[in-house]
Amino acid sequence: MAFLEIKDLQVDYATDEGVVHALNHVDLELHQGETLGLVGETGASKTTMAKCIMRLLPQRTGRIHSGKIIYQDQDLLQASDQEMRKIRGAHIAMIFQDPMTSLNPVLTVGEQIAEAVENHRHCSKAEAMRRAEEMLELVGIPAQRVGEYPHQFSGGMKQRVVIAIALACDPKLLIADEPTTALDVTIQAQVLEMMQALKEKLNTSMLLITHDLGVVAQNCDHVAVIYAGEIVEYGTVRDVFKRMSHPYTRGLFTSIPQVNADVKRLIPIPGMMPDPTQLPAGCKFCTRCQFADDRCRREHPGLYPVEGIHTARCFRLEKGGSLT
Amino acid sequence: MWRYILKRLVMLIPVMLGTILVVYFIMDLSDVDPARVILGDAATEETVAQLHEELGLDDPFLVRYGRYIWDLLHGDMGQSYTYHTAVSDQIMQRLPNTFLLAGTGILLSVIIGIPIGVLAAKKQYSLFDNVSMVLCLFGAASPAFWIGLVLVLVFSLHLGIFPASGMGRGFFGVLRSLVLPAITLSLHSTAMAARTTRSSMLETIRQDYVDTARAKGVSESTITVRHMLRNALIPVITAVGLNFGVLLGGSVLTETVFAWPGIGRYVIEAIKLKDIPSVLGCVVTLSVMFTVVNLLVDLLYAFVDPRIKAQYKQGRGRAK
Repeated sequence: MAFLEIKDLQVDYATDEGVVHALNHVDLELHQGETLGLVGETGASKTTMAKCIMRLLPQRTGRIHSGKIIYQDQDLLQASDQEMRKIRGAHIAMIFQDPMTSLNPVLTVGEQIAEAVENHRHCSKAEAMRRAEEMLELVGIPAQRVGEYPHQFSGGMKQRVVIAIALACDPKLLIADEPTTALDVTIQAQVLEMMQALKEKLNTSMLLITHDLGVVAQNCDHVAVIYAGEIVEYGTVRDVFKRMSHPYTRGLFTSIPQVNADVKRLIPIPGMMPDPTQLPAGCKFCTRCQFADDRCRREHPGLYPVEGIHTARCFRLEKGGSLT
Repeated sequence: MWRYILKRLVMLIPVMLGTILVVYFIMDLSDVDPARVILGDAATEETVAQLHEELGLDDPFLVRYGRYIWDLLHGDMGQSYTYHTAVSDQIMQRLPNTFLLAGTGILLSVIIGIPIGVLAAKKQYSLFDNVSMVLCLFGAASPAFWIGLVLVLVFSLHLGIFPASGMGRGFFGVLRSLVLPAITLSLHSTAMAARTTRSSMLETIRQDYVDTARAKGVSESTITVRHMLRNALIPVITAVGLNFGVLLGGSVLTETVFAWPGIGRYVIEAIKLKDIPSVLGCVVTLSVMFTVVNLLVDLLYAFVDPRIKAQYKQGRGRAK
């Protein structure tokens, strides 16, 4: 039984330029205690997915067309605002991309952590503050800095504070939306290591959104590759990395520099993401795919099994074929 | 922080010296002979000359300016030509009334303007937003004397609810007579406060930390006040603070229209009667008030935004 189940999720944004098809019939499962990596390039609707689970899509433009997000037998998309408020922070917490802007500049970090605690545990201010100090220590910041303001912290420290806020109420699921993208490499490693350790300690499940396959390899159990609002490949990290079965996943790998091979030039994926207001009728990747034929442009491929739970959305896998 | 305040207070001195110099110079340029004002038209040349001698009116400009400053430092603003009493007494008598009116005006603009701005921003493009912003445009554009006269026409002459002019006696009397002038005075700054709050709120509404707060499961009202409004407040404080100056200027008109016994009306009277010491005294008082309010506004920034407070502490705080 999956812990979080996304079924047939379809999300649009209504903009002046037309309707942006952000998520197209997405199905995804997340199990207790596991880390699922969600990989894709900018504009692939990774953040939309995260905000959708939290029900934080922009109200004016974002529209959820169809689908279900089932968490503990409850469809989050049907939950009332009040029910959602109880779930946010306490059950499902989120870490945002840019720590520079995701903390309120006029409140102390302690107040910002304590706010989450007070809100869900209905405890006194002093108790919430004590919990805030505890959380700061947990993410490696001395507790006496509890009364300081965000501008007194460095970028990596701020992200630690953001993580402390997210974990303050022991959530069961942590959604991390590119938690290390805005940080420099040495700090990235520190933050990820810490997140991994805390996740194991608190037995939290995690949805890790990233465009960095290295991060996925190190931190995730399962991985879902998303392209133009569609899951194109899904499986355990081991399977997907060993036997990449979608041309897009392949493209992602060949565009990473390898330390142990003598490669003169990287092979990028040619072309650009298709305009999300006018997605191709067939396979969404057909405009950039070296294997694309007429059928790919006409028909939309389903997810075909590769091995076990490993699936990919490519006609070449029909009848058990392989990519190469 | 205290060093910053002290620095700002010290900076008050050159500002005041300059202000007084300019006003004193302008008054000097007018062809008003104070001796003739004091003695009246019937005075002979000799008595006029004698008074010139007594008051030192024939001394060079800088000597007279220096003397005025010296007296001012001793709390002496000179004698009013028309009332024949100390100008400072006249001003002290009227100052509380002006404070009452301007204070009520500011209070109204804050407690009406800011909530309107917040609601308009939260419900951007809604009917409320559109209607309130059109009304604000109207409020910001219509001159105080006209609004004042219209209010008098409707509420005093036709409906007879509020007195048309003067200041009533007793608490309720004062309150009743305060309503119309305070509304007239605050209309402009209410509109400004609402518009500034709205645009500043619209900026903070889209900030990432608002999403962070939402992700914590905080209620929408807490998010609005604690996360949005507090961050949106800085430009609003600036607008309201600067408006206090406009309000002081506006009080000259409003006090005249409503015959409110404040400094604004006094200065107009004094100008009409060529009562130079009174005019000077009023200008000095008003400019001190304005500078002090500006200082208070700057200190309020530090109270609202810890980043500005840190700047003040480092002594890098810049005066406006």
